[in-house]
Amino acid sequence: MTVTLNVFEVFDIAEQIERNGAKFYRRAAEIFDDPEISGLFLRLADWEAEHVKIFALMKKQLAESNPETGKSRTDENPPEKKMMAGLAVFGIRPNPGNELNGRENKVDIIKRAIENEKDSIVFYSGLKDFTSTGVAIEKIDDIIKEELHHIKILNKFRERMASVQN
Amino acid sequence: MGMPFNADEVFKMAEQIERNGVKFYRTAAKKFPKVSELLLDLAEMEVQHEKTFALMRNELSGTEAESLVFDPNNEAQMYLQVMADDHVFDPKADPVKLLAGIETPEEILKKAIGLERDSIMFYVGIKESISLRAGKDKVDAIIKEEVGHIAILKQKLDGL
Repeated sequence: MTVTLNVFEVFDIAEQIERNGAKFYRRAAEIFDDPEISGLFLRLADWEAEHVKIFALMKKQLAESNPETGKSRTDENPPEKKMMAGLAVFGIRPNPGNELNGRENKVDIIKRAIENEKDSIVFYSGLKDFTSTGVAIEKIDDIIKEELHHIKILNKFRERMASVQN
Repeated sequence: MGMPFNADEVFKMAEQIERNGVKFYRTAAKKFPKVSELLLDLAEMEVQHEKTFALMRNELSGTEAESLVFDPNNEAQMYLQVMADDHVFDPKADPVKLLAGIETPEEILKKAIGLERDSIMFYVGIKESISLRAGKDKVDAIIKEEVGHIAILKQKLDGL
C-alpha cells in the first residue's frame, strides 16, 4: 500500500523530528561528564525545542488559512504526497532517548548527532515543496541554515576530541 | 580544515558526484535485474544533473569562477569541507567499490538512498554558498529532484 500524507501530517512529522532531536540531545547531555560538552548538548536541545514551536505555529497558520482540505497549495502542480511519506524515513525514530545507553564512545555520539541533523535537513528540503508562501519557505530555509550551523558546532567538537585522542 | 573552495571547484565536485551516481546506478542495474529498470532511470536523471552543473560552471564569468563562494560566516565552506574530506562523502572515490558486500535488491536500494542523501547535503552546502546569479535556483531544483529520487527508492523498497 502506498502511503500518502497531507500537509498537516507533514508538519506533524517535522515537529516530531525536532522533539526527537531535543530528546536525543538531552540524553546525550546526561552521558557526558565534561560540562562544556553537556552544556553544548543542552543548548542544541533548546534550539530544537524552538524549532518545534516554529513548525507548530506554521501548521496553525496553515490550518487557519486553509482549514478544510489540509492542502497547502492551490496551483496546478501539487507536490507529490508520496514523496514526503518516503522522506519520513529520515528523522522519525520511535524512542530517540533510548538510542543512547550511556556506553557509547563520545565521538560516536557526536557522529550520530551529525547524521540526525543531516536527516532532518533532507526532510525539510522536501517540506518546502509543501508550502505555498514565500514566508513559509524562508522560515524553513532559516531552519535548514540553523541545522547546518548545528553540524558546524558538532563537527568542531568532534575535531577537538579526535585531536585529544591522537 | 583545508583551503576554501572557489565556485569553479564546487561545481566540478558536483559534476563528479553526478558522474559517480551514474556509474553506481548503471553498475548496480547489471547486478540487480529485479530493480534494474528503476536504477537505469535514476542513472539517466543523474546524467541530466551533471549536464546542468557543467552548464552552470561554464556560465560563470572568470571572476565568479575564481572567487571564493559567498560565505560570510564560513559555514557553507565548513560543510563542503566536511563532506569532501571527512570520509562521509568522497567525490573521488570509485562508486563501484560501494557495491562491495551488497547482495540483495533491498540492500542496494538502501545504499542508494544513503548516497542520494549525501548528495543532497552537499548541494544544500553549495546552495548556501553561491550567489543567485551563479544559479542558486537551479541547485534548489536539483535538490528537489534528488529528494524525489529518495522517495522513489523508498517506495520501491517498501514494495519489495
